[in-house]
Amino acid sequence: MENSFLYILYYIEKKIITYEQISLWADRMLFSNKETIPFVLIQLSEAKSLDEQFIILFDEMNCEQLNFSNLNPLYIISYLNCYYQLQNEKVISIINIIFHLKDDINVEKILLQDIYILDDYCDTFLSNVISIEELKKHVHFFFLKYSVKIPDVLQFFF
Amino acid sequence: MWDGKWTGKISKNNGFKTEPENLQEQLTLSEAQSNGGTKIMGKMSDPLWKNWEKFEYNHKFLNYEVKMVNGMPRVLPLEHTISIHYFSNPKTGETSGYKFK
Repeated sequence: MENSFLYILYYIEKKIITYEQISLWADRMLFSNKETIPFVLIQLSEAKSLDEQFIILFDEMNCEQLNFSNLNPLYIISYLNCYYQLQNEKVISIINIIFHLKDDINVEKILLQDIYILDDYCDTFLSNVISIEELKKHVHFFFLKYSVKIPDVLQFFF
Repeated sequence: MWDGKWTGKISKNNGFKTEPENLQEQLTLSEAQSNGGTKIMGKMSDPLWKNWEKFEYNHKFLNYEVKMVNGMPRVLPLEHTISIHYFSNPKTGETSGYKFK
C-alpha cells in the first residue's frame, strides 16, 4: 500500500492524476480491505483538494524528503500510455515526463537510451524535421515496447 | 560537404527553451557551459547537427513548494532536476545549441 502512495505522489508532482481519480482509488481500496481499514484511505477519500491529498500521503510516508528512485519505471510508462490514449494532443508534455523519469527513478541502460532517442525525435519534430504523425508513431512504438500490465493496486482509472 | 553547423534555429524556435528564467537555471547553464556534461548521443541524424554529438548536463536541487490545506500553507522540500542539452563538434570542440529540457 505504501508503495502505491509513492506512485500517487509522483503522479501528482507530474500533474497527471486528478483529485477525483485519487478519491475513487481510495474508495475502491476501502471496499477491498475487509479486515483492516487503513485510516489514510478514509482521509484520502474525504480530502477536499489535490493539495490536501498530497499532504496526507506525504505525512503518511513519514520522511523528510520524498524518494522515488525505487518506483518501477515500466508501471509509470504504462500509466502514461493510458493517459496518452485519452489525451494524445499532449504528446510533447508526455514525452517530457518520460524524459524526466531518469532524474527521479533508477532506469536501466537500454530504457535510458530509448528515452534519449524518443526525446531526440521530439526535438526533430520541434525543429520541423519530422511531422507530428511521425512523432506519434515513435511514441506508439515506445509504449508498445515498454508497457506492462499494471497491478490492480496501482490502477488509477481515468 | 555539409557537416552541420549552428544556425540559431534553436534560439528562434518557440518549442525550445534556451534562456534561463531564474537563478537556479542561470547557475545550471553556467555550469554546463564551463564544466561540460555527459555524452548521450553521437553522430546526430538531424541534418542541422550532422556529425555533432549531443551532451547532457543535470543539476539537482531542493525546491520548497507551498501546498494549501484549509487555507493554511504548508512548505515541503521536493527535489527537482534541471537538465540542459547541447551539441558538441567532436572535430573542433565547439559547443552550441544549449537548451533546457
